[in-house]
Amino acid sequence: MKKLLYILLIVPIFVSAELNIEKVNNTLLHIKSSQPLKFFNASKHIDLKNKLKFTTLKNANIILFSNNKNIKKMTIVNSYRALQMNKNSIGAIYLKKGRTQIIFINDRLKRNGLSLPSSFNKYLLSECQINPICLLTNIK
Amino acid sequence: MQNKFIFFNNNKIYYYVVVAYIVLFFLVIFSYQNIGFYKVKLKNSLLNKTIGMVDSTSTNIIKKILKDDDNFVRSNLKNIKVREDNEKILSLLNNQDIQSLYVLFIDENRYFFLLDVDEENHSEVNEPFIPEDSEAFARVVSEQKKRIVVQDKINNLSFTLIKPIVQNGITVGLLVIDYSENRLSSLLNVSVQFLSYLLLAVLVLFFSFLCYVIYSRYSKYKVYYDPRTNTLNRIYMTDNYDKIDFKKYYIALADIDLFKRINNLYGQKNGDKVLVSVINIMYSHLDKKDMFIQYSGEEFLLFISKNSRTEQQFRNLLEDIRISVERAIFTIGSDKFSLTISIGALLNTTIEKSLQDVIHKADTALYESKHSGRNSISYFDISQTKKLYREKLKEMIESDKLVCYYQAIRNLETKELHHYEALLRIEDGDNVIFPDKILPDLEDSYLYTHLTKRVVDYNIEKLRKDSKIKISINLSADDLINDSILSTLAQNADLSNRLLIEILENKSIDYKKVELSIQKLKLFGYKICIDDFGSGYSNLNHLLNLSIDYLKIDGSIIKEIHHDKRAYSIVKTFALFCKQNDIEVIAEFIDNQDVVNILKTFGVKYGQGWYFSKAVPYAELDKEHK
Repeated sequence: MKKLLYILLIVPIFVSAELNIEKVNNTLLHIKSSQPLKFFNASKHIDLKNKLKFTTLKNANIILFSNNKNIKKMTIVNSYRALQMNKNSIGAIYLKKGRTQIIFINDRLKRNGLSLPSSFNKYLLSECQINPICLLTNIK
Repeated sequence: MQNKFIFFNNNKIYYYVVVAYIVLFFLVIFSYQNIGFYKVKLKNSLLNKTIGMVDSTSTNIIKKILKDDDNFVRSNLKNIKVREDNEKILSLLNNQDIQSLYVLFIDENRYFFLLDVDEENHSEVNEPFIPEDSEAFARVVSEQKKRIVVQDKINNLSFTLIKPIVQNGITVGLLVIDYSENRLSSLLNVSVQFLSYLLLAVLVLFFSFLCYVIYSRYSKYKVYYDPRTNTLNRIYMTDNYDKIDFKKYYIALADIDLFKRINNLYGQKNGDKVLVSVINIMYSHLDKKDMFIQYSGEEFLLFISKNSRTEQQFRNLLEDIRISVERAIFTIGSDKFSLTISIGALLNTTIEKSLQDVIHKADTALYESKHSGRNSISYFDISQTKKLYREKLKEMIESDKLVCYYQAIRNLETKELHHYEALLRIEDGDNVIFPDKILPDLEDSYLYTHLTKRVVDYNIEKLRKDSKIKISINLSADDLINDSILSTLAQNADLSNRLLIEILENKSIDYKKVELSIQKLKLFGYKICIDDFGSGYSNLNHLLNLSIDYLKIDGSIIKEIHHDKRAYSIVKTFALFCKQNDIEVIAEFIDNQDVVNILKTFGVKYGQGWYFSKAVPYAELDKEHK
């Protein structure tokens, strides 16, 4: 575990001082689960304040800002590319064109027993929508 | 009392200015608070102008990338070459002010990247895009009209242009151009800031101006107050002659009787305290509509409002004031004393042409009060117009109309000139006014000292210009204990061998103080002469203590010595006394040779009178002074 921790620390950390932290906090706080969610923040540069329950990597349910595919836990990655590649990732939070992008894959949330209220629907995509071929098939 | 607010009451424009400032202040605050609104308007206006060119170009670009495609989105999604070509076309729009330039397509109300000209952070095709300002994007889709979004929340972006890409009547995509914080933004910020500062500057400048104007006026206004007594002074009146509507008032001029003695005996500081006490007594009888001005040292002008009092009530008021002052007991140290005031009043001010005339008439009435024994009230009537106005007298004293004429004192044996006695005159055109017309009016007032100082200065000037002349001047016992006169004599002690001091001796004085002053003068080298010897200093012991050099026997006795035995005996005795005590005798009023002969037998050395010469102006004197 210690070794994993060190590896995680070496993992490139998504640096963004310009993320809309309030929006991010608000979204994460509204993730519904049958049990209380505990988070681990793999990024030293993103301060999510203390509104969320943070714990150690071992005890956390959701790992934030880690692109490490080897982590078997639910992760929220820091790029769209990582979201596409990492099937364990339930969502991604990153900056695009200066705007904070918050994306959750609905199918993956459900698979993990998670959900978001309907007011957060704008952040939800389907698995198909992040698959170019599937998307192309659906485009009329 | 009106005095407290007279600054604003007489300068009502400042009320309006203050009100105008308050209105301006609120207008500026309102403008400042709404500056955001104006900022947006200004920004939009500038944006429209900036984007104008890009807007028309982008419309052509959109047409070009749409081409004849049936399905613009599918074509770009499927074919990388098509995408690359379109991105090249799009890049024609790019310039240094644009941060990002991309095309989005829409699927199930969500946006995905289709084209992106950004090479460094190129977005993947199909990559989702969640705009901050999703509502603006949605409106462009639905309304199919371009929108400009001002980016206040996104760093490094100033605004975003969103244009619909419409194919077959359907919005299939959006052309998005993000403009970076650039010259335009800077200009906007600078403009808005400039506007803010301008408003603030206007406010501050106006406020400063207001403060300056009020302060400078108030400073001037403070000049109007006597610092010792905190009452309005003569300067105020002089500056506001035209503004004071004297016709609305009865006028009274009050003067504290014999006040000069208080200053002489107890000093100016204690004198001021007494003055304030008297002023407070008078104040207590006046009301808000009245006005009180300290006209000079111990003279006060009262403007009594006709609105609040009838003529009879005004008369009663003056009598009340007079009685209150008379009954008051003043204390300095262990000394208790009382004072009185004389008042001159003018009732009918409506017929007068100027405030000056009004004051002159009140002054004339005051003169009557003084002459009728003081501690009284006189009302001006037409019969008084020919009398000499004290005010006019003051003007004459302060002008070059005040001169001295010189009468020779000669050696009775040799007829040689010993010195001239300086005699006060006032030349009023062809009219020459003698001291007996002037001095009784001024006695015991501050003017008397002022007059004496003028005479001293006049003669010192003559002594400075004429190195041969020798002069005697007349000073009263009160003058001798006046610091300013003593100081002048001390400063000109180098002339003491040519300036003889004749002391007038006609009322009771503090001998010790006079003796002290004489000692000081003798130390400076001055010679002392007692004038009009025969009254007052009749105590010969005191005479000896004063260490005088000359004694001038009263002329009224001298005139009689050739036919009055008593006069003859008195003069003979005085002459003998003086001879035995080394005091030189001067006999005045000599008008014939018989008197001269008798005086010679007594051993009297010097004489003065019409027998030798009359008093003449300096210009008529023999320049060799023989």
